Amino acid sequence: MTHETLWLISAIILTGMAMGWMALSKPTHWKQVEKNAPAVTRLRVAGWIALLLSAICSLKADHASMAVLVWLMLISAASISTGMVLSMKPSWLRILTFCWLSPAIFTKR
Amino acid sequence: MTAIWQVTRRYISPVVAAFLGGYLFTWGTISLLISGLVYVGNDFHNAETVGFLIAFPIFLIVFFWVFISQRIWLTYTTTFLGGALMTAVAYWLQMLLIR
Amino acid sequence: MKFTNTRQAMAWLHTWLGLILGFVLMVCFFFGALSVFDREIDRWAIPETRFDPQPMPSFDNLLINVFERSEPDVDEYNLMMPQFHNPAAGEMTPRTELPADEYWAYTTHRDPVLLMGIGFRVPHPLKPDEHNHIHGSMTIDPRSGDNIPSSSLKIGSDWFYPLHYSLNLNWNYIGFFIVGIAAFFMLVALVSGVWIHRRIFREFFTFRKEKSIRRATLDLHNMSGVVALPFHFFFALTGLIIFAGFYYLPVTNTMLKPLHNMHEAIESEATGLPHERSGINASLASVDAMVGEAKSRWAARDMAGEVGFLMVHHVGDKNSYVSIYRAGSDRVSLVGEGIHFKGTTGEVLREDPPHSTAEGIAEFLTGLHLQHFEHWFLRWLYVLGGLLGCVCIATGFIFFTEKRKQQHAKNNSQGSRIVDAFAVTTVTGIVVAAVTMLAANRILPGDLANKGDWEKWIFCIALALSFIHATIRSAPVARGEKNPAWLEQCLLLVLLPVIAVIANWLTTGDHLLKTMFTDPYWAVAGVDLSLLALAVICWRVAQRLRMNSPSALVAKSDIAYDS
Repeated sequence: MTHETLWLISAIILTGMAMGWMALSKPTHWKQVEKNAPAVTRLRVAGWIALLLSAICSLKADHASMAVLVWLMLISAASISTGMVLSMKPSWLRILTFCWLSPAIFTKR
Repeated sequence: MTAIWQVTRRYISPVVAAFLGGYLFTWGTISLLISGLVYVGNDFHNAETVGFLIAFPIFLIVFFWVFISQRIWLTYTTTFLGGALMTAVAYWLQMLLIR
Repeated sequence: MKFTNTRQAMAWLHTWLGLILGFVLMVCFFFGALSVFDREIDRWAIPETRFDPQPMPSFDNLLINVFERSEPDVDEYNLMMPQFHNPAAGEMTPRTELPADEYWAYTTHRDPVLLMGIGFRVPHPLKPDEHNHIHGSMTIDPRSGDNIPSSSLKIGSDWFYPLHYSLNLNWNYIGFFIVGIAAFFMLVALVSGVWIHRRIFREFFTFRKEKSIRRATLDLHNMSGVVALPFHFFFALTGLIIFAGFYYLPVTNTMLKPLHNMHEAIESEATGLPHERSGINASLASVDAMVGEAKSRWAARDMAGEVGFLMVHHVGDKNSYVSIYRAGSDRVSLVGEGIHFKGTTGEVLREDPPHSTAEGIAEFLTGLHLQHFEHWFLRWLYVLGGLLGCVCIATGFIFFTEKRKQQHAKNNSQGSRIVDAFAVTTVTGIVVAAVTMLAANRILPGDLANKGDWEKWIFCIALALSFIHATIRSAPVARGEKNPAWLEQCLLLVLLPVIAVIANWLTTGDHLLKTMFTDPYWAVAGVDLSLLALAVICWRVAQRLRMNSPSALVAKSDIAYDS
């Protein structure tokens, strides 16, 4: 596997996480996944950071002009996937509400 | 029959007017822009490219403006008369350049 | 305007223009999405061309022989020669004796076959100042130089691809103009749609499929429109820009034509590339050496690459020159980095200068639409974008009828029924037509005369039958019920793709186990897999439609477009 492919795969995963967190930062969607209240700001910050990192990964994978297109289209793909997951199997998004460093980082205390 | 007439008058004619007016205005703007840019010493192909890049956003904005605005006399004069006027000026500039 | 407020005016525009031009846009988006893989569909449809992409072959050893044995097109000669020829100057030159004036050859990183063309000149032209060319073109196997028979239609690049920008209606370019108007109103629909849809970000991820069919359809319409908004906007816009100079705003080809011509004359003087023939015969130096020189100059600019387009101007004349352009593969912008050589000696006459900012932007925008780059993942994302466009338009149709059909049923109006029949035709009908065409391509005997024309007719007939079927079966819509044509055409789409895949296996021996594992050939495997995916999706959709659940119709438009 080439370096470009690895960067691209990272970009795909990060965009998916970003859009997942963005969706969870909306209380209506959070309620579909978890019972307690969300830490909206933290989720949003996590989303934006992941989005930024995915942009960097895209730039690492391709020529800059191409990376912009890949990144924008990835956002579309990740958004529609998130929307469909929320509609069909919202529990799958639980993987994003759990942080390995601190399990309850995205829940309001 | 009156129903068709009313639909035409109320809905279809404003759309057609906005489309034609917008197109004429865009044509005028682009032709004036290209001949104007060449007149002040720009490269022809560059001027042409600039024209095509901004043409459709201009068309879109003018279309909405004509369609939404309540001041029909203003929108129609600007687009139809303005478009024709700009086209004429562009033509005149071209004649100056060719000579 | 007679609307009470701007929002209402926007809603009116969105509803009615979106509806009328949506039928055209559906064709543009669906066949545009298929065009992303046009070359791969060509491979599927013409089994003799199922081999790996080839670089531009040697000009001196191979291409020149093909050019020299090729002839002008018979139809074009019969049509154009009497118009170009000046009877006062001499006899009309017979078709096979017309002298060549220019040669070109074109390939991309996805093409096993090579497209070549010749412009023949008319020895005694009526208007010597004009471009009096009669053309001939051919597709060859670059490994051997053999012609691919012209009766085999490249279904991807010569039928689906032009369908998405011209509807294949070439009479007076009417198809181009219909598509152009539709593309402009696509922009109008996007702007007005954003204007009337207030909760763009709040409902960005919202699809409540368990709610009423109207609610769920609208959710899906909003979602598919909003998440791919940049894609929808830029593809409609760049499509318009690509054809602006030719069809939509031909300012510089009509009104400002004199200025254009003056510029061309100045340019040819400045570039040193001869605009006219000299009249003195001369032979051509080694073009392969020029190709080598061009490649080393590109490498020196850190843009090493293969030749995509090669053209010899003023063939056989002392003024001949050879233009060599780089194939697009590693970047979005379509930059040829053209290098021009003197034909008789092979010395470099000129290198195209770097472009201005505006030209750079235009190259990026057209490049992002025409996608010559080598990036399979991005290609699939483009397919997704195109299909999301289809979902958006299709849900628009469904929302339109769902909102009105009860009312229409009460008033005894046929409005919803008509819209529904058109919706069936442009949602399932165009897919039925496309898949029928592919199946016919494999079932019709390979040596059938004019096989390509038969395939085109089968496509059109399938589409017409789908429309007739949808119309006949749409009576329940006028009573506020569902059109059974949706389910029936869906079931047809379970059967047809399977037939196509099996026919491909039986006629060529290329089954999926072979094309995926034992002797991988992904162009054919990809088409086969997409066809099977279409069948599976349509099977599931058909089951949902049968269950008669309130969300049945929505699920349909959600997924019916994956092929």
